[in-house]
Amino acid sequence: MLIVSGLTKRYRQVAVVDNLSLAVKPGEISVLIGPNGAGKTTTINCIAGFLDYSGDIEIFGHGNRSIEAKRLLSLVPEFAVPFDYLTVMEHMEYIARAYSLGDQWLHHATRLLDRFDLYTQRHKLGHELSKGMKQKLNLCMALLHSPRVIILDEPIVGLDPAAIKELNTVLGELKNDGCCILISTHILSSVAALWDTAYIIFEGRLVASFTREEAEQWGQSLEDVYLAATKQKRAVVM
Amino acid sequence: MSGALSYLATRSLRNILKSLLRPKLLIALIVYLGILITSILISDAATFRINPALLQQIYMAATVILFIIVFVATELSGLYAYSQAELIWVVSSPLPKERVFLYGVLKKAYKSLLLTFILLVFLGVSAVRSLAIPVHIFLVISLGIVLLLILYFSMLVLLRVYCSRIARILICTSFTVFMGWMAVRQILTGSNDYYGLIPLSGWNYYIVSRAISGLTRDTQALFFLALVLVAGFLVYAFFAVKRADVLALLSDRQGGGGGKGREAVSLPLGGQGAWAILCKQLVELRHRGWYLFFDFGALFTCAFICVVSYAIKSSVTATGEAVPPIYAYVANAILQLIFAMTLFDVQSVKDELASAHVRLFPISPWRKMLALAALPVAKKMTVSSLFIALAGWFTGTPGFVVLLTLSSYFFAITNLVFLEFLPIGNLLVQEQMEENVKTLIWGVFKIGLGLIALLPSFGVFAFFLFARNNIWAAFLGFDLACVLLTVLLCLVYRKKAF
Repeated sequence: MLIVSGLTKRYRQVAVVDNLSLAVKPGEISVLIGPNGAGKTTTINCIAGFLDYSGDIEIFGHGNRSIEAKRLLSLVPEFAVPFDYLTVMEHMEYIARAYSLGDQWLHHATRLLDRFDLYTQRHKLGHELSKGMKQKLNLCMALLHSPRVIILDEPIVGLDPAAIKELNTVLGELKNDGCCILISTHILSSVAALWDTAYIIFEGRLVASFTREEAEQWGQSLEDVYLAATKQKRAVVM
Repeated sequence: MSGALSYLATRSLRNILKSLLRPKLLIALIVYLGILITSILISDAATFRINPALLQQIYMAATVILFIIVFVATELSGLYAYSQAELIWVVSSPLPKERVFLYGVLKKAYKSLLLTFILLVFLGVSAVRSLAIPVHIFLVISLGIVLLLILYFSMLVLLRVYCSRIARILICTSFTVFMGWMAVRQILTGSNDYYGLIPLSGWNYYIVSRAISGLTRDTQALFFLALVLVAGFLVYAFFAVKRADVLALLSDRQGGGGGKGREAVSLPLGGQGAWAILCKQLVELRHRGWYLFFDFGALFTCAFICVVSYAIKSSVTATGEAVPPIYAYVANAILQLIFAMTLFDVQSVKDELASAHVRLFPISPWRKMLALAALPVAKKMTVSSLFIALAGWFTGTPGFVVLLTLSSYFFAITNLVFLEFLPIGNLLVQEQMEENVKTLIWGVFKIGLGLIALLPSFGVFAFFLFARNNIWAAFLGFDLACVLLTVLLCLVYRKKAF
């Protein structure tokens, strides 16, 4: 389970994320949505342990910077960043070594690459890949060690329709396996069929959190609730 | 280091080397080696009129210069200790922090060592006809680099955890002053105690002591000067690392978290056109005032070097000897060091030009370029002028000042043209020209880059050609080679930024 409590991140005097709390249960897909500059990526970077912050972040009971937590966590960044001078297959081998995966990694890696149409590109270097291929490679790297918590920052950017469909299938499988999934996105339609819980942030603050069931009871879609919540906040700011 | 990180380092290196084996580069290498061998053959055919001891000193100066350039270039190119890919896939992986730090240190060290080794052997074999001396010096310097990097990172980790920023600055400055004082003491007293090297650890102290005890006093002084430079650079790098807070950088680059922070410091532009661009630069410079620490770091290093130069001069004249011309080389090296520093400090003009608010200004692209480049150039000129003035004052050699001024401005213009204008020009061309014209101009630009890559060969050639007759010609040839080599190195490292 991923639990974020009272997360605050400041850049000098400005609070980019302010007292944010959220929880992602096993077998649940949560979406983190908000306008540009709302603090979504900063939240994700805090969870991944890249930034200093105040508050608590726990991954299945472990502090997010502990080795144990890192073993359970995977991050798919917004901008695909493979190593320039490793081939596709070498990227996978690096992950296998870093996460001390057993001998089965090669089979798993081959299957993943095949699912995302990357197997034929396995000898290409990182800098030779197109933007979409880089994104696919990052997805494969993130999935190779079978994480228990996976965070995806704008995962469909740069992906072709076939890859988006495959990604949705993979996310469904992960959900069925009891994985905690947190997706940050602007493209609400991309998660409309997937989400279980939604967290809307605006200027670093959590302005709404609700489940799919609650939204259905209200008779509103994810987009309706999002627009209503952010419109209300914009009106207050102005 | 863990298996994963060793794998990452070795495979990356292997793939880089494989990718270098391309026909164009091989041809360039063959041409380069051909010129080099021809130079050596010509120099062998004639009788050298230069004192062999002086030649050895030149080699030593070249060593210092190259060491500094390589060290600085690699250090600055690695300001952000980990690349984006490493941040995502190494820092977030379940590898122990110590190993990740060690990986960062060794990654920097092996690049420095490899480059230094190649350059030293090249110059060593050319200048002193011996492989033993360059290898010997390489071993000493490489140990120094590794130990300094380890020391530097240890200090960095410890101080960042336990000390405030002011305390860090004070501690680092004290360390530099201590090193410098020991060096000056050594030079002034001529004694053979090497306490100044103690910070490098006992083992290295022993190695270095043995290595330099056989050198002449001037070369010892040069060696200490190099150490002082490195120590000064530690202070400089310390500020740099603060700037390059890798974790904050990630947020900035990804554009999400830094959003508000950037909004908070961005101001509406006053005025129009080029003047507005300049105003914007000035305002941003003021808002990011701590960037100025970079300049102070460089100036601090500069001032320190001048003090040591003065000490050298005093000690030499006290014994009734003339000021040896070798100091011209050292001063020139320092000048280039400063330029290398300021070069990397300048905000990317290309990014500025590409930004929406600059793009919308109703003035011609060339005026935009000039306006954007004006402040960086002014900064470079100011720093270099100050250094030239100080160098002239302390060494009391007006001839050098003129020469240094000319060479420094030549260097500045070279930097400006090759590192800033041409890539921007290309950007503009890409935006405004038709496809076929774009291809043509891009092709010409690439040929230009190829020619620049060959220029150091001509510089070295000139050095060997003229060095037989005239020390000043040798100086000019050597200067040309160094300048162009520096530009080449900068281009290589700058390439990533573009």
